[in-house]
Amino acid sequence: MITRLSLVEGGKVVRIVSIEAGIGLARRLMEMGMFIGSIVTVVEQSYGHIVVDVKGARFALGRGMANKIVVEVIE
Amino acid sequence: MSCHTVKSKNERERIKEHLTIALVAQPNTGKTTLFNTLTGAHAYVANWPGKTIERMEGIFTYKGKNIKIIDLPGIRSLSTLSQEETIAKEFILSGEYDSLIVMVDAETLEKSLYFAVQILEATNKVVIAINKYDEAHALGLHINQDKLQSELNVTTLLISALRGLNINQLIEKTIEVASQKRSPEPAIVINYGILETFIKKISDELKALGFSKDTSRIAAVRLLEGDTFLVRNLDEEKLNKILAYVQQARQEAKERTGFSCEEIIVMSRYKLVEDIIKKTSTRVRVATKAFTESLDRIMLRNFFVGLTFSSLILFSILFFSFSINTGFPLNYIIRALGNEELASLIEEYSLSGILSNLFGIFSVTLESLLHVLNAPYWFIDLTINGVVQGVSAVLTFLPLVFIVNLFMAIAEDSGLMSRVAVVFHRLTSVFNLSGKAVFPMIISLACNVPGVLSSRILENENERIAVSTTISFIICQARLVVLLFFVAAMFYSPLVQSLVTITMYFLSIALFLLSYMFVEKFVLKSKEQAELFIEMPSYHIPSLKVVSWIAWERSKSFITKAGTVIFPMAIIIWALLHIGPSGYVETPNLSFGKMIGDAISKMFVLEGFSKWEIGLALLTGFIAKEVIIETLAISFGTSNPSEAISMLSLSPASALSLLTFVMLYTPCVATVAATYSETKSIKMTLISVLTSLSVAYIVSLFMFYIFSLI
Ligand SMILES: Nc1nc2c(ncn2[C@@H]2O[C@H](COP(=O)(O)OP(=O)(O)O)[C@@H](O)[C@H]2O)c(=O)[nH]1
Repeated sequence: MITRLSLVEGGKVVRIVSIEAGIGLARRLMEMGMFIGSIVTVVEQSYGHIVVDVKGARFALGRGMANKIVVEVIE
Repeated sequence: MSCHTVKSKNERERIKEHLTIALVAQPNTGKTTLFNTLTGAHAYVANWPGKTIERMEGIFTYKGKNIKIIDLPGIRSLSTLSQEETIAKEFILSGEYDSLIVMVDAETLEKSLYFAVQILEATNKVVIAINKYDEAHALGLHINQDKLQSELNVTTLLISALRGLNINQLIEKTIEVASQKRSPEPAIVINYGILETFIKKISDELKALGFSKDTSRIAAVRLLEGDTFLVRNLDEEKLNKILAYVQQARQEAKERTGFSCEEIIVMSRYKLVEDIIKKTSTRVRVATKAFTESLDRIMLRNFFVGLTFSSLILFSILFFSFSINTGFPLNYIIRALGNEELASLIEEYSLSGILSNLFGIFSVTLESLLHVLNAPYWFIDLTINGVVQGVSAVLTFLPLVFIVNLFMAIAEDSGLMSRVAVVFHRLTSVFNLSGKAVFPMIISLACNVPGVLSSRILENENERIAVSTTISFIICQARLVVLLFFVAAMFYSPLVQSLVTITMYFLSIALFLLSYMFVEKFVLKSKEQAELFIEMPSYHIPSLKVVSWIAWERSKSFITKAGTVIFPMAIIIWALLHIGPSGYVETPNLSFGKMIGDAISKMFVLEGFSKWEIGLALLTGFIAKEVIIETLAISFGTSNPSEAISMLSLSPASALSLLTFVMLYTPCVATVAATYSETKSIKMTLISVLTSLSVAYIVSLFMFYIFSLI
């Protein structure tokens, strides 16, 4: 199922399909290990942010940013 | 990295002027990952000159420089012997490159640093890249990069080839090393103990044969390890003579120690590596995933719960560090509870109390010493009232800066600070500011200089510059000292005193946020939104070692930044107060300072505090804010600051207006210097000063009118 990271509920594992962001943002995401094909575990959706686990590292990601990341739910 | 890559062979040959950089690592360190990151898909296969073995090369341009990067075969040690490894080793020892990137695996630090040390014995045209730092750090490893760098004597970076962490910095530093025209020298010289006499003998022989001092030593060491590569060009007769020495050394070493030469060399190197690791790194135990998750549920699930905890953390940091430093607010609370004696005791034995006593003793001793030495009066005055006073004003803040940084480092290292930043993001994002900005804000409450410097943690460039230009609105401890003096002299009711103090704090934070927004939007014309994106490391018990590294590193930059500007400024201000149209003067009334004070005070006719003493105090307050009190006292010829404030005989509206101005205008030269060093822009530094001056002027005028009406 293709959706946006901001809409995926906690506990799901997704694969990044595309990142609809400017170079600056895409690059920051990349530096933290999030690029097309990366596997991301959504830990929790919270009030203004979403907590994700990428290769063992945890990140808090703003809704706006998560909305620009298109993902495929894999489990 | 701008990878303008060159594909065709012709073009490749056309690029003659390039820097050659080689990647060296033990297998599995992440060399392939780094090579691919650096060259993208634009690598090609070449042959080793004169050999049939292939090697990977890539060419890319970075900031106008052509870089050829060679991927050397992975080697376990400089002493091993497979064909590929031999090629790599010979390449390293031959020096046919502009610099080497030696990769070290953070996950097997000891083994891998041993390998790097072998290379550093031969050359310092090296940048050390500690790879996989992402994962090692997540598992609790901390490395003090600066310290490791000074132990290894070459540029050292903590990187992650996989995540791209610090890769641009790696390229830049490597190019820097590669562009240096100096010839390579050993970066590290190891003491091999019992072998030293043999090393000396063999290297003396080699020197006699024309080897340089550096090469002869490393060649001798390698010979004792059984490696003849560096003496390969000697003719057979000479070589045999040298080898005879080596043989003799081997025998003697074995007889005397029971160890072979190789063993002694390896042990000495490992000992060095262990020492370095002990000095520069530490491991902490990280919390279990379950613990991290449950604590995060408290901190991050509900905004108000998170906000309460986050505020408590920040409040405790400030409360404890302020109390240790000046006694405030603990002394006020205890005094309010009726225990006057304990309150004064706390004030006297607070750090700044002790320090100012010490400076007092020092200054008195120095003064009498200068009298005994018959120094001219003006010189004594300059030394004591100019230099010593100015410098001690800055040094008095050092303990506070250290303590706040220490507490912040604890919060940071434990993993708490990043959660606090996530929570605060909800509030700060209203101003298009990311939550991480609470960090410089909190530090600025102690002192603006480290506050400005800590704006570095902000990743967005515009945000970082806008914060360092405007953060000086936040009331630091120096201004708190002035605030408390004024409030105590002007208002009698403790309730009004606290109310005014708190209002000033809120006002200053509000003005910081507003002017931040103004600078970011209209000066820097930023279009980016403050996005929340914060890494949250696993919680762990902070390591004392790491925390003191961080706190010391930041306090050190405070000393260098504040210390270098305060010295000349103290002399200039002293000169203004003691030199007048008639030459050296003893009282400020006849000095140029008075004239300037007069001119400055003309600007404050509207607010009703147009007095030259105030104008002068505002000028000297530019060295350090607490000097304002002192200047007023000197100008009125009293030693009691509260008396001086009363002697101004201002109306309540004027007094409040003056206080507002003092709180909001440019804090001090040291902060201006810090702003310049962070923004590297005279324009932004000017904007910073002008914004604070004009905002201070407008708001204080506003205050005057409002309170005149009441
Ligand atoms: N966590 C982490 N793993 C890395 C990093 N760089 C490489 N690796 C992993 O380390 C392993 C070896 O990497 P590789 O590039 O093949 O190493 P090489 O043998 O030195 O070329 C691979 O599983 C990589 O994914 C890094 O920076 N961080």
